[in-house]
Amino acid sequence: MMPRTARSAGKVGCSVCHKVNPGSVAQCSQCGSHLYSRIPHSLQRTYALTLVAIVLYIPANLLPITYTVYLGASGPSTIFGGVVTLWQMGSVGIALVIFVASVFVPVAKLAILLYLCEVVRRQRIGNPHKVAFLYRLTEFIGRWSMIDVFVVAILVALVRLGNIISFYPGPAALSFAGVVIVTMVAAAQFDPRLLWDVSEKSNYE
Amino acid sequence: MTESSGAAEVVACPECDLMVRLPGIQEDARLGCPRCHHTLSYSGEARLRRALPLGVCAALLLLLSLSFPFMSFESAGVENRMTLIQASWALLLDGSYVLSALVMVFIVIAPAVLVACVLVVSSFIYRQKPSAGVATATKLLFGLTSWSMVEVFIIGVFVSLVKIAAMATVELGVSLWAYLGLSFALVGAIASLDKVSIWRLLAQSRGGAR
Ligand SMILES: [Zn+2]
Ligand SMILES: [Zn+2]
Repeated sequence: MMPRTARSAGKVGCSVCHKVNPGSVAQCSQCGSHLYSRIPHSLQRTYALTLVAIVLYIPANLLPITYTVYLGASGPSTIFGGVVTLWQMGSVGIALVIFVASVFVPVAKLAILLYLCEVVRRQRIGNPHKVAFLYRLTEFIGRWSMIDVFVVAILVALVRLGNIISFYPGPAALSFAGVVIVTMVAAAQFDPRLLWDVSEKSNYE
Repeated sequence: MTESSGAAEVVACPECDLMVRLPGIQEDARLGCPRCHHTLSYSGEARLRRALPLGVCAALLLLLSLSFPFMSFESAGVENRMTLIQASWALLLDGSYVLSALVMVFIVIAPAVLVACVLVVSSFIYRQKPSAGVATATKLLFGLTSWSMVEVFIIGVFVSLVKIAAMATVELGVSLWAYLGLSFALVGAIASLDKVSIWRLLAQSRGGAR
């Protein structure tokens, strides 16, 4: 049996308040938002933004995220270098937190976004519940990658004792914030209803 | 309630587009989408009414966390204190203008706007009188939620502590604890404001005024 979707009934569900509107109107009668049955050019936008995030991810990892001045000597530190230093200091737990938030989550999120786009583009889906779970995961975990950027902000503001000890922001901090922001926007541009449209066509349900 | 008053009796699931009939607005219930299992709504009057006290708490905690030192750092007899605003301001002093602005948005501006929206929407729930600002506040509230990063910043604080604990003495200030409280109050307030119920109440109150 075909699921009774708003689109199959010739209607449009509002993405802001979820009210079902007739297909002929442009604005939601309940909240006034602009209506669209599916986000226009959802795949192209998600692809393009994911690509931008991948490009930004390169300087974010190669360039220093902080410069440290300690007793007159100064040195740069990258995201991955920071994880290694924490590990060597014996803070294995915190090293893992940073590794997950700054390395694993962004890479996993970019991979999931590409995978979601591919599933829709090829019009083939296995279990839609599993794919929908991945989509919800990207929406939920993305912002947690900002931890490292906040660590930079805190160290720079707190540890300002001139030549004794000071932290300065590196260029990777902005690139990395860019990765997190762009992937958050990319996830928001992906229309999850497309996944269920595919699953409807593949007669999975 | 009839369709003519404007309140939605049927909603389309935002994740899979299935049309789902809503239960009565006063009923305490979690409405899940039968097709994709997305939670469409958590209705219930008591739940909605919890948002106002939590919102007031959040507002007070935000003011507290902006007014006192957040953390202090001491090494070789020299001390430096940091407030919440300075976490963004110091980046500006070091020339990272964009990063400074972003941090300001994520840790102060977005949470402050969210608190204001929570207060506007939750006081509407008590009065049930429609006003122009409520619809805008509702849209802003749900659109801005993921850009407020209070809890992410707090994890950042604890990571920073570990990073510098070996180099110096770090003390935590009143503001940090207020900010931690803010994260709970804000999450609680937003969780009790059910999006579908609010839009239905708004439509009802407008229908009644006509
Ligand atoms: Zn609407
Ligand atoms: Zn659904």
